[in-house]
Amino acid sequence: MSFSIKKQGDIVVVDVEGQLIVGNRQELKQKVLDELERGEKKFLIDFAQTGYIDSSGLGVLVSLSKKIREQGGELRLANLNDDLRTLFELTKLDTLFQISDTRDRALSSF
Amino acid sequence: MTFLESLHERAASQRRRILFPEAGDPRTKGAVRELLLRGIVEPVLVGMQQDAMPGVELIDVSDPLLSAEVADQLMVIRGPKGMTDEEAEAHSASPLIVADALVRLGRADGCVAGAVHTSAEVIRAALWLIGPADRVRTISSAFYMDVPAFRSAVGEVLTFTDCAVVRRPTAGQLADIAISAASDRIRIVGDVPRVAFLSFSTRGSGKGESIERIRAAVSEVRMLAPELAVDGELQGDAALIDAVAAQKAPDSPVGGRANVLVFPDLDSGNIAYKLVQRLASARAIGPILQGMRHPCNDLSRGASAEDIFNVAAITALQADDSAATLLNPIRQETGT
Repeated sequence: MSFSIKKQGDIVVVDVEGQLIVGNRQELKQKVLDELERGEKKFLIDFAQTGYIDSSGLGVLVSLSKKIREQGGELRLANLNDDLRTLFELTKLDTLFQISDTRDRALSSF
Repeated sequence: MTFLESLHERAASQRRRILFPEAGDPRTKGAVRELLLRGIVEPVLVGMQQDAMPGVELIDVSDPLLSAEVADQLMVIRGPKGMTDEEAEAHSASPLIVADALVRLGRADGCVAGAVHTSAEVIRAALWLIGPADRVRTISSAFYMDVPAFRSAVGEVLTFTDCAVVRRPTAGQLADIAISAASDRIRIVGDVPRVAFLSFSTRGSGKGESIERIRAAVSEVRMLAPELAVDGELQGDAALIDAVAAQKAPDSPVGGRANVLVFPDLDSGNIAYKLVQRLASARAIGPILQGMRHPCNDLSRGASAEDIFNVAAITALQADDSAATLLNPIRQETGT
């Protein structure tokens, strides 16, 4: 499992491969915070290759969303599979995040 | 076998993993020692290394990995409501918060606290991290009153609810209180609940807002849990004594035989339990929080080691998911 970061225009796109869990969520957090510190404002996390997010992973997403917003930025999510979409609905986090079905839709939503 | 003996025996048969986040408190330590010796539950202390006891697992709240995980839980739940990372980190050092987070994560069956913390602190942590059970809107409480014989040759256990949490319940809240108390009675006492909504009036002998509220609550309970024996409004004597019920409410499904007494507000509930405790020499066990997703109980700060021991046994029984909940099947069918 790993995170890859690339720029698409002025948007930082993070791909999460495998899982976002207690064992790796700090790595994701630090990578995004580093970009935020460099002055980036627009972030998209793409879960197309993600099978599982645990509650620690969710906690880090909430934390990042707040930190990005505090800096005047935006965080969008894309490509949650059905199970992950249900997880966000059960935890009511679907109301906190703007979630798109595809990466393209997410990119054009900024 | 007395109620307490039965309680201890049934809890011991399940041996649930129960957390004690007031690990430095001597009464808690006394209860934990006894629970371990008698095999009633698997007690686990949540605190600092200096609180350790021989033979008892201790979860160390100074473990940075655990604190970070607890902070994550808080961010999921409270972050959207305004909690910052820094606040979540500060809370994640609290044994009470850590214990409830571990129950939330399924690493323990329940939590017992309140000998040191205030009720407000215990209930706030439980609401944050554990929250109400599915389809329950109201967290409430009950006392299990172990009363001397009054209508047969033997003593009985009566459920008094709510005597500690909801000050002036609406009709919907009263219905929640009744259904939660009935569900918990099945787990804790192990008999068939018969629910009476108490009032100064029996079946229309009086009029007023409180009676309308009680009747609306009774209708809601009948709709949500039609298999539950329930009636109201009833006066205390009509609820408890056959001869009075025969006169005042002859066709009542619970009259004279009620074992769950639902009070119209906190004043009447709290006054009633204390009077029965003092005047009738009843043993009052509680308040037991009801309606939570997982059991988490609040002790009185005046609790003895024996009180903590008994509340731990009740907490273990509340963790039994296989027991009927009364509410879920009905609400699933009606889609509410």
